Amino acid sequence: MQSEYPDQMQLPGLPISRRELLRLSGTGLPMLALSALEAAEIPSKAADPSQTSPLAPRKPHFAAKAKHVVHLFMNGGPSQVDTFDPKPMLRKYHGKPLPAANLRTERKTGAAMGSPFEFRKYGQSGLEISDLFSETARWHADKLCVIRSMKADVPNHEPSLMLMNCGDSRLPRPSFGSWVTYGLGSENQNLPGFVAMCPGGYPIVATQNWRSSFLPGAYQGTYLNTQNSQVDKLVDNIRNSQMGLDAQRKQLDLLNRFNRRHQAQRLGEPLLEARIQAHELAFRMQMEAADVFDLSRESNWTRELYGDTVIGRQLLLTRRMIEKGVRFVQVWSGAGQPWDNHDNLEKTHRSLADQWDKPIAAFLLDLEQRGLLGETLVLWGGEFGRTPVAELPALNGRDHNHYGFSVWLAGGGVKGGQAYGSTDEFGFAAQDKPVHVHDLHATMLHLLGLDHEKLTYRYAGRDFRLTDVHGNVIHELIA
Amino acid sequence: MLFLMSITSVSADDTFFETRIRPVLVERCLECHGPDKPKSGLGLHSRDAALKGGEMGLAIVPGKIEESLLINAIEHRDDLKMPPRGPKLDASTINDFKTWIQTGAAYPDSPISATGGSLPDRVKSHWAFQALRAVSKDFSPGVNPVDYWIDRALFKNKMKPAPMADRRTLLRRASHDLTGLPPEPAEMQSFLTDNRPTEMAFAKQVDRLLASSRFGERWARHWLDLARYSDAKGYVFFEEKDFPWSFTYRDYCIKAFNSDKAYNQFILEQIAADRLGNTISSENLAALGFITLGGRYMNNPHDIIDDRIDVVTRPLIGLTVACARCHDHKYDPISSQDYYALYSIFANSIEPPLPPPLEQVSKTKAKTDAENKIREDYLKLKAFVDGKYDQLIETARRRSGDYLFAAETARKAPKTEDFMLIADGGDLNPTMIVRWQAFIERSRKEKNPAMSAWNRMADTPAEKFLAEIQNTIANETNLLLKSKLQAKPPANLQELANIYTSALLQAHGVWREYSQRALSAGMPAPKAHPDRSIDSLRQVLDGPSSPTRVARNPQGDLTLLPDRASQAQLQALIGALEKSRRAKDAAIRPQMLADREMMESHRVFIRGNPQNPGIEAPRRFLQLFETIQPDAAYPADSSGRLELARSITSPANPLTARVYVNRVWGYLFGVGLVSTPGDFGARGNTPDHPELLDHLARDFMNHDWSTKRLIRKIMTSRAYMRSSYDFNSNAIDPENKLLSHQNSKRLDFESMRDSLLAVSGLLDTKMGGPATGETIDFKFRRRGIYGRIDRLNLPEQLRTFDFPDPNTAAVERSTTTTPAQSLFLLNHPLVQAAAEGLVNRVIGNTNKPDQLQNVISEMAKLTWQRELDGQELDEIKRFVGFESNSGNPDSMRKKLISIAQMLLISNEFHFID
Repeated sequence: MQSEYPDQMQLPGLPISRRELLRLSGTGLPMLALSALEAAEIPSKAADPSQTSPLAPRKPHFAAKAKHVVHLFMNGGPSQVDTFDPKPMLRKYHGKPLPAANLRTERKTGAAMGSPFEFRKYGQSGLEISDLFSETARWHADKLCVIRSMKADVPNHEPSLMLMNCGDSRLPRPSFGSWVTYGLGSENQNLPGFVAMCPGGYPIVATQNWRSSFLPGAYQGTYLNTQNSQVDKLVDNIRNSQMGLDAQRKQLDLLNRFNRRHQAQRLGEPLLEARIQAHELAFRMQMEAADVFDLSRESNWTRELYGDTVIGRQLLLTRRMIEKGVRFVQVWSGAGQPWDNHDNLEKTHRSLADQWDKPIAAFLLDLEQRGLLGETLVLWGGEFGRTPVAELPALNGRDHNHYGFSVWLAGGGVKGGQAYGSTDEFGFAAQDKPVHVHDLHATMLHLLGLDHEKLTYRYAGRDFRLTDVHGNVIHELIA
Repeated sequence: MLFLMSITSVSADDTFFETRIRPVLVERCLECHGPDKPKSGLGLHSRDAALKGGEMGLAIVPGKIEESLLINAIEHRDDLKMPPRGPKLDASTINDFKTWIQTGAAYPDSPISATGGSLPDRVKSHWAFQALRAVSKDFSPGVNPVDYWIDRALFKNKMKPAPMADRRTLLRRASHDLTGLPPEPAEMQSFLTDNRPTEMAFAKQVDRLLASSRFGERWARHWLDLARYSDAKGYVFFEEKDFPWSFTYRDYCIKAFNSDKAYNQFILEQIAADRLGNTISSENLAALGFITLGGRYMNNPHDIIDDRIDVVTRPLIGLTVACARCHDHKYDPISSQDYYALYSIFANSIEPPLPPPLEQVSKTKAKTDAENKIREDYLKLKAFVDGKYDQLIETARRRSGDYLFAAETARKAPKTEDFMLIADGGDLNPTMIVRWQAFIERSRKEKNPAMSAWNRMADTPAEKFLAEIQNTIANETNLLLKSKLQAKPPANLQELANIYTSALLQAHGVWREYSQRALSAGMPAPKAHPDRSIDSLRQVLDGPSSPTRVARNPQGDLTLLPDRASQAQLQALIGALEKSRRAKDAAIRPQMLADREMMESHRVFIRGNPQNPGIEAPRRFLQLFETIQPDAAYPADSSGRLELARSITSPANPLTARVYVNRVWGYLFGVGLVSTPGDFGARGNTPDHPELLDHLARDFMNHDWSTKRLIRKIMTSRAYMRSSYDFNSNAIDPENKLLSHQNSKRLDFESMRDSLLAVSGLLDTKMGGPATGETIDFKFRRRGIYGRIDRLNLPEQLRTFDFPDPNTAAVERSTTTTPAQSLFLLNHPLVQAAAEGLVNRVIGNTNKPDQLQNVISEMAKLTWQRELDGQELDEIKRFVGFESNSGNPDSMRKKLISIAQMLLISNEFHFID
């Protein structure tokens, strides 16, 4: 399947004599063209693909600690007081009102609700984590940088998803992954630079979560429905249903010959070269994508480590993509908002955490063993957390809480084994060292070598940023 | 290339001030330390004032934090604690102030929004704000003004103009530019064999293409980019996802371009068709979709209005007015007051749930029944919503003290953003609390005497309440309130709230009786109660700035109904109406906008925060254009959209025609004379041929704002007809600003898709009507403009091909080249269908092509509009394997399809010279 033009960077690919060029020109250009061509040098604005491909890798503003981002999105909002923010006081008050009035959230809330899960200390750092994530904790506590003082703006899903993903609650803005791909390009031109995986459908507000908005479409997230495991169902247009790769290679070679002839008459036009290159990339992508999404190429041992579940497969795919240089991978918990446990929290949180805990432990271990953890920034979290008090009328679920919640970072230059900031004694609101979502974004961009105030795009009269006019880099989070 | 990173060009210190310091000054300091009688003589509204200091000494000494009293005060180091009310500034803000002073206290002098201020002259002198140059030359009939200026510039720069393109290139170019489709072989043949000189023959072709219905489809699609057109609303809660009649707007646009509707009329109708009365036919009400087909922004009214302000400014006058939502525009003379003047116009416009039918409804029984059912469901919805509003207002009055107390509590709590709450039936309405909060803020600024006791006591610490209440009672000037306070002095704020409830209700009762008596005596409704104590109190409950003056949304909204039970009822009622509106026999209606029954005045929101109202923002057009404001103030009984539309389309408006002409130029040359079509402000680029731009704009207005005439003028110029080959060394003019040659263009998504279908004979040219399929679906064969657009769920493929995000007006499309595009071309069923279609079109369904060479030539003629040369034919023959003709018709057919696809995805097909 060797292309007849092994080195597509060279121009022109088709050996063509000056005489023939002139002869060809005769079909498209009038006589005067000939004399002009004889007299003048043929302009050659030879296409440099790094200038023409929007996904070509670009240098960061300063030395980066991380090269890739993996965002594990617990959509719906996991409860901080049941996972990474232990609050023994809640058990004392269980069933009783808190001493101070409950902060206003979306719904009516009542008495305190102690966590049904036990917290234990893990690792050298003694980081306290609940049983829900005991595997992750046992293996990786000293790598986790838990931010316990996160805050967002409102306790409603839609705006909070938008804030976490696009840096603005309501207005149409590009997603974090789009900004990063815009800023850094991607290291593998045969795969999409930014991938969003969600099994069985979309999270709420759908594709807006990974939109490129006013950034060019090339930076949008490519959605994979990971309910499927066959490659042609995972990636759009990845396979031709009518013809095999051999036949397609021959077709592409014929196309190249015609495109080169066409180009030879129009040497000043870099887009023509870009298009020719893009076809070649696409052709290779078909093979590389088939390869990267084929989990049977992994050892049994590795597949067992991740577990043969949707989440396990998603994380194994993620590692394979990161290994191949994909810039940004977002992994969702499931369609809709699985973590949104207004009732039945104990049961549902346990079953969701069971889906994630072992695969996360495996994923971090795998990254570490392959030497990828240092360059991969992993973020775990939801769009907000949950109230320490129960939602009325029952005492078995929690409302949304944007006043205080936890996320964690690992790898990618992060200072692990620490809990940064804190909420009040009941876990309601961020108290010590609050970290707004904008600060999280600014810090993550910093780890990627990008200055969040300089990563801008001119649109509608303004230089837009992911962090708008906000955001502070939190240096204590950085190793 | 659009993906290069840009770094802001303002100095870092200025940026720091604008992002970190100015917002804090505006929000926390200027209310007292503004230009108007500043407290303690200290003004912080300008650098000069701030450096001058106040009665207590120097507030700011650049470079010296310790000598700057301001730092002392915001750090609460001693008795002087600033700001006196609300929370202390947080540590990072205080640090920002230190940094600011340490680095020299930069303070750029553009005016601060809340306080108004005049426009700096340097900005007024910006080229785009100057009147159009007078037509300086009379052109004899043979001279195209386009060439006059372009050729002059080329000559001056010693540039060689490219020769005229050959006829094939010309017709391909013109067909794509005007119709978004390639020429049919017969059309090409007729042009190639036309014996007249090329210029004349080409002009005929341009006329033919302009007269084609395909023209409107192509040019309306350009317009829909600006109109951020979508058939779906975006994320919604209780309504149906789709606009019921979005297609009426799309079809209106197609018709407008096909009938060459005067551009000024086109704009008038799109902004204010409902106000044009009998001067237009009622089908033109569909034009209002321009305003109404935007996103719903989770029902946030401020964002919806922001979107509407943006869509009437950036695309139409090339100014980024929406930048002034939070503070004055940083670069252009557009103030927050300008923004909120427009805000007020759109805040006084609503979408009626039941617009009038677009056409006369025929009187068949089925149609009449359908209309009756719609009316019935509409009235049910209306009764419910009205009842809920009445109840909300009644409760807001009856429980005014409770609201006051709740609002005060919210005021003192740390600020949080407005969010959706789910409440119980009997709760105070959260949005009404916010309204009371805004009312309290206003009453403080305006020193409303009826609220002075409240405001004073609200600022008094609880332990000093009993001592202070005596002074308050002694100073109270409102006699009704005073008597109530004296009768039973309140012991805390809650008790004071109860007294307010009683006084407000009593005054309101007296007032109602008084006005009723006047009315029943046949006298005009009184404007005020003669007793000032009564009048100022009753104003709180029903005056123009009362929190109970709720602007009604006829379809109701979530904030009106925070409890689940009412929301469910509302949802059911809306659902019923939506269902009957969608019924088979229901009439088609416009996506209409109308004025409210009662106009509300609005204020500047300081920093864009609706809870922080500033000065009044009377409705008007941008102050920049004083001369094209209507003579009188905007009418009190309409929103002012018509006046706004007239200002935009005024021949004296220096922007509207320039912006449009530039846009048309851009569609024909690939880039506008001003290369930033959405920004004619200080940060936009200046025109490459300013005289030409002005001439075209003036000429356009002088000739009935005719788009077709303008296009014809440009397309019949030598400049348009030139070859796209650059015959100069491109070092002289690499961006081709001087237009020594045409620019080559890549087909955009719709042109590509439609052309694929057209050449393969699969295109269905049926016009108009509801969207019945997805553009990306290979089974959907109508032109792309008729495909359904869902802004929440736009297929990735569209964005992949640079189709713009339909959430905001797109003034230009980016052009990217990615492997994802190639995957589409190589593998998508649509391309495969087109390839098969092309083969079928040429050979019919037979599997026995007699003359293979003819088949291939014919396919090339359809796709590339030219004959293949011998070498090309040889290439293809080699690909097919002519010599070893296996005679297997199936494999032959496969090869032909492969060749057809190769032709269809070739650069020659996708690029227009």
